[in-house]
Amino acid sequence: MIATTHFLVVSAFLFCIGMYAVLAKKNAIMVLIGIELMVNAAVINLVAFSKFDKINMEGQITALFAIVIAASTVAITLSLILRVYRYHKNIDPNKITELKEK
Amino acid sequence: MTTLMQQNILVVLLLLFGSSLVPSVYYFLMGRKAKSGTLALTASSLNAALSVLLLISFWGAPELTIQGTWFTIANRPFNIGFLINKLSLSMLSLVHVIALPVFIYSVGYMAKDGRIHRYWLYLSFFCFSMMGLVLSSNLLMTYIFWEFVGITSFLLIGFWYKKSAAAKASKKAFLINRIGDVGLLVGLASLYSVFGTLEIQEIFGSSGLLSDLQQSTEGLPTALTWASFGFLIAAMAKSAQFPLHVWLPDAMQGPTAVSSLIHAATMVAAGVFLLCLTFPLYSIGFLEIVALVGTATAFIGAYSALQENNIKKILAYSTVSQLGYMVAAVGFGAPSAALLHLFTHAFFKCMLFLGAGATIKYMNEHTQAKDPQDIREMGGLKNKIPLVFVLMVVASFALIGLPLTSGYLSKEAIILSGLASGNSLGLLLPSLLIITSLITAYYVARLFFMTFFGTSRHESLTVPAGGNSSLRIMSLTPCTLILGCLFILFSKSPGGFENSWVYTILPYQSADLKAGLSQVLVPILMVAGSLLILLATYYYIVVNRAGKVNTIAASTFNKVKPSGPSLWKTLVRNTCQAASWLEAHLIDGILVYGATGLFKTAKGVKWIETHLIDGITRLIASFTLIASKTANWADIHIVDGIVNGTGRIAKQTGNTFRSQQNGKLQHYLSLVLFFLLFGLIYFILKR
Repeated sequence: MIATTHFLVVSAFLFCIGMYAVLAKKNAIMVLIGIELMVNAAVINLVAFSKFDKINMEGQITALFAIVIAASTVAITLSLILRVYRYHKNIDPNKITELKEK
Repeated sequence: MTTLMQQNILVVLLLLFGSSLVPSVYYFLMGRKAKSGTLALTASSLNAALSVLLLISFWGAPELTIQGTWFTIANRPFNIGFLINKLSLSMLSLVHVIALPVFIYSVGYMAKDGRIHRYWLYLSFFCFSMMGLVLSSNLLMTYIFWEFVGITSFLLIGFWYKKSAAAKASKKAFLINRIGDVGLLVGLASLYSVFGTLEIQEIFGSSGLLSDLQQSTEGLPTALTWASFGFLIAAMAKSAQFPLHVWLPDAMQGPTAVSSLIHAATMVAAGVFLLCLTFPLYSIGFLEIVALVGTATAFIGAYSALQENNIKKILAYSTVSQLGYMVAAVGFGAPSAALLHLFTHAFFKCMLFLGAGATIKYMNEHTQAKDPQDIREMGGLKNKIPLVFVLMVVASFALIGLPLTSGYLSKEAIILSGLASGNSLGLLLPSLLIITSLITAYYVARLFFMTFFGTSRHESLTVPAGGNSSLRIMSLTPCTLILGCLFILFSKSPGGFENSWVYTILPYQSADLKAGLSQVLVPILMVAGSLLILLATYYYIVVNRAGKVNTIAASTFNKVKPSGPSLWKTLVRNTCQAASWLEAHLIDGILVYGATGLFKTAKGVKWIETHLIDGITRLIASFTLIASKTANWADIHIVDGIVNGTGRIAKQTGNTFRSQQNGKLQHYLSLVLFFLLFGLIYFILKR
């Protein structure tokens, strides 16, 4: 029997891998992939907890919504990365320090 | 007192203040463009007329305070106002009446000075400040104007600031007067701590807080002793009392007109005025200290005058000595006598200084004297400047205290009240004062005979056309003060100082003068002694120096011709020879060695003054230096250290936090994560 805990552990691993990618990768696309991993960790949680739903399948439907929204954000983010690349000729997040006070 | 009269007085007072202040403002604003002293002169005449008018019309009326609130601290108002009574009005009149001839005199004396506009500015401002000082109704205002006269004195001593001696003298006067100012401040603070007010009338009035306190059975607070000492130190610095008198002789570096007004007649009397004003404060024991200080000053001042050759410095030491008389009079419990001497001294000393100024001017312009102020260079001026001679005669007689002069009145008053006072030192102080007055006779005579008698030591130069006009102004104007040197201005009878109007000024009862032997004996002793010394000095300086010594013994010796070996003739010749030898060696010896001895001891006093007192001053100075160095170290290392340390900490913290904002997205995210985890762990552990 696969318990809820197993799902949660897998989700936590996935989240941590995503977090690592977001914090450490030198490429904005890899960071984006890290974000996607974290979103998917959250989606796994939604699916796992949907077992306790009062209304049937509520969590799973929300998960579907989340996947669709994640897909659209990926599209938008990719286009942003493209714009950033055109502007800076670079997509290393460490090299782009526009947020810093001049 | 009707309100109408009050208003009139207020109008006159405002007019007075206006006419004192307007010239200062005018000369301040106009600067170099204002060359003529017309405005200052007009204002001064107006001041003199108004103040005398006010004094005469007010005389006998009850005293009056006109005041308004200046500012309030913790429900305690500090007022600004005038105290109108006999004391303030007579002081006011004195200042302005003396100032008027001095202003006119200055026209001649300062005629060619390039900074004349400054001179008028300072002098007008001095009159204004002196007026505020004598009229103020509370001690805070007194303190402010006290500082004002101090600063004008400083500015005028250093008027020729390019002369290094003048610059140094002004610095010295300023520093020593600061000591007095601290004393005054301590006095004010102590009084305020006891009474909670600084109103003169409320504290010192006949039914004021002080008399309530003195009549109550409880002991007096020690703060009053502090106040007494504070006021005494203030008076000692301002009125040049030993050992704080050292600034006054140096102050003669200023223009002579200034010396006569500020450093002889009026400002230096401010200390005595303060002592008279606060007289009820002093206990009997404290008054003995005051008397001691005054007498010591009188004696040392007169003694120092013996060894001076500079005409102005002799007069300056004489001023120190006479101020000592005044302070001693306060110490003898006779402030009225002090005030009388203050008034009479103002007139004759002012005249002496103005005469000395005219003499110096003459020596400067008409002879080739190296030092125009040195009395050894003068001589035989009696015929050259007769008017100056006349006024110097009158003023000198007043200073010596010969009968019919005003000086006689006031000096008798002081010495007799000294004899009458139950001072624990007994006859010591009065007899010292009598000796001092004999010394006074000697140095005045010396100054006088060396200047005006004998043969002139320098040939007169031909006078350039118009050069005499300023000298004429300078010898005529002081003559207006001659009236003040005679008894008639102060009392109806030449010896009756107790009937003088000055004695009605102060409400305090003077000690009863017992009609005893001393009443008769002391004046006779003093006058006879002074006359004898005058004659001896005349003989020694004028006759002896002129080589006209043709004494009886010597002439007999010449008459008896050596004709034949007669025993009788030999005897006569030998006796005559012996007599003339005796005369030459003994009498001259006594005179010469006595004088030289006096001179030398006077030098010794001067030496003590320069080495001992200056040594003490230097010691205090080095202590102050060490203390200030320590304070400096503490300031740099501790105080600054704390301040700088705080700054450094702030800077470090700022740098630490600032470096977190580096614009790197991932860095921000890790911080967010870190704090999130931190918070999470905290909540978990807390539960």
